[in-house]
Amino acid sequence: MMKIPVMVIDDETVDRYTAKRRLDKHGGFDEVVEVASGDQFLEKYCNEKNGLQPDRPLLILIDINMPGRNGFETIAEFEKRQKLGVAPQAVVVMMFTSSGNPKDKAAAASFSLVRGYIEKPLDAAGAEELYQIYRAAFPDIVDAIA
Amino acid sequence: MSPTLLSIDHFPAPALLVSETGIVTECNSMAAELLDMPRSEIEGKPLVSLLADVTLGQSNPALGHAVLSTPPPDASLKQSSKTTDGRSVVVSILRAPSEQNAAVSYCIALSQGESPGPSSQNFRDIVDASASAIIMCDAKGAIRFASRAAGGLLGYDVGSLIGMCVDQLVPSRLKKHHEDYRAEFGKVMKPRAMGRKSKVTAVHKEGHEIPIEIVLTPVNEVDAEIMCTIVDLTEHVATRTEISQKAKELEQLNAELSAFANSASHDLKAPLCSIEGLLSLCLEDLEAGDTDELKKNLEEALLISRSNASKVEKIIELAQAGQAKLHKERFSLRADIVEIWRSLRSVGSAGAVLEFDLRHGDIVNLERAAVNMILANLLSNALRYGDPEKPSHVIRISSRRENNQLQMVVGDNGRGISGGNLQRVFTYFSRFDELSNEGVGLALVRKQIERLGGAISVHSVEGQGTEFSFLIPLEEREE
Repeated sequence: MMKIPVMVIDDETVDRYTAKRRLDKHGGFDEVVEVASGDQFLEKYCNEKNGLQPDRPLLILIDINMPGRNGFETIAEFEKRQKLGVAPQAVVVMMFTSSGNPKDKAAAASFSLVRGYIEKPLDAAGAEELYQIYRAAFPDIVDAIA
Repeated sequence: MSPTLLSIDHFPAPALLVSETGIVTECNSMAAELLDMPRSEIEGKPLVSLLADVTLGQSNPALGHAVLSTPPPDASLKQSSKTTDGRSVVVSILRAPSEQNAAVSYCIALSQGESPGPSSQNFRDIVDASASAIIMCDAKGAIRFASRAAGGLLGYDVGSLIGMCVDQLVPSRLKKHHEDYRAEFGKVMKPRAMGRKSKVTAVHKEGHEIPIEIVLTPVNEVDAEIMCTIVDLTEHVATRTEISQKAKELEQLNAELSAFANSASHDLKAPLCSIEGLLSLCLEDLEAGDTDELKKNLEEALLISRSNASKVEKIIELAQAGQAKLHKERFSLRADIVEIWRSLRSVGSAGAVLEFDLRHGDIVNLERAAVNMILANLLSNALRYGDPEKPSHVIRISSRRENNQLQMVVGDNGRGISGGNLQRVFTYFSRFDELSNEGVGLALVRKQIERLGGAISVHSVEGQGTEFSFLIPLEEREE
């Protein structure tokens, strides 16, 4: 069965740890790549020198409230860099936050790139939801190898 | 004026018809009463024998001739005059209907003069008793009457207002328009109130403008006389300004509170979610018998709980800052800075150097705890954000006393703050990187400084350093 490549962008080490454990337990996800901030993500994976070109579409969980660029600012910049061709094209972006604020949910919905909104902490049901959302987005990839 | 006016008896005011030769041809009963003579004695007499002291623009002192030598007026021509027994009357000279008579004749309308007749005195007493200022003016805007309150409001004595054109009481920028407005009003002659919704001002004798409410009422259609009732709105406007100022303050406070509540709720919820995530894993690790992982995660959850309990304390401190007034005391600011620096240095950052340039005359009389909190926060930030790329980490603290204000600058050669973050440094719970604490310190600093009546600003260049400048008013000179 194909495992989904995942990246967690979050400044809270403990939240990255919880997500990693949950996704591991689910079994459908690949080794989690941890990134400590939106700025680091853009710097490390979305610039001319080292645009990330994963072999499979990437699932990105991104926190909203982070030092430097917040989650939304990061996604806006990510979209720009996608157009410039220096950022991974095939992605499933999910907001990953403790905020239940309707304003944040509305902001998330305004990005075409954002496929969903998962509230922390990530539990078993959340991991399964992520799996299904990814599968709906790229059925060929998940099911072909499954 | 009205061509249908055929009989003077229907005229709504005391009136006389005067022939081309200045002889009274007709007198109505109101005029007879005003002149205190029977009609028969009035009719047939020369006008000059009934009303004295009238001079028109012409040099001829005899009224009858003056009238005749003046072209028949389109509007009324007004003059002050006196009856034979010495009472003042105002005489309005109108063109009389001439259909019946080929000869030009004049209608002379009379009204009681301002003074000193007993009935006009009575009128003045009544008007002066009114709290509102009252002014009467004619079609040309000339003031015919002014109440005592009007004189008081505008800074003139009543006598000097008489004869003045009302345009002079209007702000100079509106004078030209005011003439047009008056002409327009003269045509319509409908009561009009101004100054409640729009801003209307009158010019005081000394030049300043007074906000007023004014009601214009036509009182004598024939003479186009207008009564202006004026209310001074100075206090009203002051109250309204104060209320809107208060409303603005409340709005600002509300926005601050709402921002505070938003970020506080999020920032308090986030760590609870982290703990929840950890504890649910702990339960599963316990069942699985993985005690190493269990122990590690319990410790982690405990750490988060502790640090957030201290964060809640900070938030409480922040919420209370600005409520309690701390007591002032005289203390050596230099000694306190040295002490703060010592305690901060003992925590770490051994390489940092503090440079002093204190010129405030040292002993200050201020709320010591608040000032210490401000300096401790600024110095601790400066210490924390040193630039590892630079050979030395220098923090400068300087002070001056100017215009009875304590001015202080805390600067460093640290890593600096980027432009986008700079705007948010004083906002609650703004954290910029892994070195940020709770994001409360600078919000607290600003709140305390503002409570002390001062202000703080920040200047920073990324890669070069940051400078916080603040001032706090000192109430008295202390040395």
